[in-house]
This record gives sequence, C-alpha cells and structure tokens, in this order.
Amino acid sequence: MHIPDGFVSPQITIPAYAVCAPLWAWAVRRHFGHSSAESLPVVGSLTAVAFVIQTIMIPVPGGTSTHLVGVTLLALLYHPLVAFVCESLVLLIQALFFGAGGVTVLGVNALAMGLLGPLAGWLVFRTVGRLFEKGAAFLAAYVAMQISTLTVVLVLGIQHWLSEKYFPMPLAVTFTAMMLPSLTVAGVIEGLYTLFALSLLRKANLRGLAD
Amino acid sequence: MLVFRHGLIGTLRRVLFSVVPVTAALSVASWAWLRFLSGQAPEPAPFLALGLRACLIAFSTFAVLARVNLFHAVAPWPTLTRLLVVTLAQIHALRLLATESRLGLRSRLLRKPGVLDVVRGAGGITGALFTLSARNAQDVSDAMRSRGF
Repeated sequence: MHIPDGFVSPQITIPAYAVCAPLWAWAVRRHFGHSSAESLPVVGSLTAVAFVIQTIMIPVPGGTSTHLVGVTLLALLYHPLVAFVCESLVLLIQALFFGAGGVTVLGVNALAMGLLGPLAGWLVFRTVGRLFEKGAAFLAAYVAMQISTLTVVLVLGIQHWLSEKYFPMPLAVTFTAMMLPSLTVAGVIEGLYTLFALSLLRKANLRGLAD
Repeated sequence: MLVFRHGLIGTLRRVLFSVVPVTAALSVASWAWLRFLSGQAPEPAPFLALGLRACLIAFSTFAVLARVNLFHAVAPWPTLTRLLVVTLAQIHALRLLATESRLGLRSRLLRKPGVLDVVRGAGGITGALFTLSARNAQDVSDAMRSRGF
C-alpha cells in the first residue's frame, strides 16, 4: 500500500508535507507531554511496537504473504493522533532502511495510512462499539484498511489526472490492483488481528493502556 | 552509479527487491489494460520513465544511507538524535520478543502455522509488546530525568 518514491509529483507531495507538519507538531504537543523526558520514550516505544507489529508476516493463499499494520489498534488504545505520529515515524524508518514507501512521499503515506485510515476506524469503533465491542473492533480495523487503501488509490488517480506522462497507470488499474486484495485479504486479517489483540488486552487489563 | 560504485551490486539488489516488483507489476497491468481498451499498444516511454525514476530515487536513498552515519547526520538536532536512539533500541528489543514468539508458535504446531494461527499468535504477543514497551519507556524516562532532561 505504500506509495514508492517517484510515483507522485511534488504537486502532491509538497502540499501533503504542508498538511502533515502542523498536524505532527500539534499531535506531539497534545499527546506526548511537554518535556523530552516524558515524550521521547513514549513516542519511541509506541513507534517500535507499531514497527514490530508490521514485521509480522501473514501467509496467504497463493504462496505470498501480507503483513499486519496495527495502527488502528494504536488509534483505538490511545488516540488517532498518537497513531499518526507513530506511524509516520514507522514509515520514515521503512522508507530509509527497507525501501518500503519513500521519503518524498512520506507526507502522502502518513496521511493515508497514519491519519485518515485510523481516524475512520476510531470513529467506527466509537459509534458501533456501544452496541458490540468485538464486532466493532473488527469493523473498525477493516474500514480503516479500506480507507487507507482508497486514499492511496485516489492520490494515484489524481496524479494520473494531473499528468498521464508522469504516472501512466489509470485509476481503473490501481483501484483493482490495490482495493481487491485489501477488501478480500488484508482488511480481514487486520480486522481479526485487532479483534484478538484488543480482546486480550482488555481481558488482561494491562496497566498504562487507555480504556 | 559511478559516484556510488562501491557497494553498487548490493544497492542494486536492494532496489531490485524493494521497488521493481511493484512498479513492474503495475506497469504491465496498466499497459495490458490500456491495450485492451484502445486496441493499440500504449507508449512504453512513460512506464519506463516511472520505473527509472522510482529506481533512481531508491538507489540514491540506499547509496547515501550506506555512506552516512545517521546519528552523525542528525547530531545538530539533539531531540531527533535521542528519538532515533530510543526508537531503534526499542525496535531491537521488541523484535527479539516477536522473533521468539514466532519460533515458539512454530515449535508448538505439528504443521506449518496457517493464517489464523499467526494472526491469533500476533494478537497474543501484542500484549507482551505493549507491556515491555511501556516498561522500557518508563525506564528511559526515569533515566533521562535523572540526567537532568
């Protein structure tokens, strides 16, 4: 789902960074305390949790594999803005060390996977969770995955519309190539993982985790 | 490539595995779709340009990182340095836990773990990850405060 460097032009990446920068600053100020001693260890720890969760590979039929995301879980346990900051750092580390995603498109990936998706999932959970919590956890993660993927697809579609020569892949192709696996496989797996993890965390009633 | 010729093969291999599959797959699918729609083969130049651009940026990123000490690079910004140190150290600690959990799961099953096995196991290990990360964060925070941060 990560957009690699070179797929999206500065017409999109620069405004994305312009949107992300104040959101990062606001999120850090609001959720991570005012002193380095308070904020840095928490940001580092949660980023590390999100990163490690994303290294867990899930085998899927066909001999390939997908990986967990876990950012919706962070949003449900803490807050969507916390998930946004941590996921942005994860994306930066992945871009620098693994070539997954990119540095120039970090803002776009961060908005899609770190903010819009988890925010949608968080809203779904808060709405539906009053009725049935377990189902809400699954639905929240599933919806979050689809919103993130759809955002990436739309960004690529806009890039194609802005310049077919820069990004020659039409929306129909990117939509099918990305949404189909997301709807049928990745979303279901992420939903199940969030359901299992949240249930276990609630049962264990671990200290330090938001209710 | 001449500038970054030392370690060229390794860097190219990283680019090959990280960028080329996705770019090539989408390019081929798009080319086939456009040909199906219009009946004529579309120009390959934009697809090649996209692939080349993606590979070049990835190559530059990997090549520069292979030659730059990241900690020295962010040294002018102490907060960023500390964040990088804390995050990478935590990743290392938590990855060990996740790896041991994965090995434990495989050792407990007679067959190769399936999708549900891994997802359920991941759900279980998440609690341990959060507990360990919270404890480590508290330890680091206490250590930073004791040093006057």
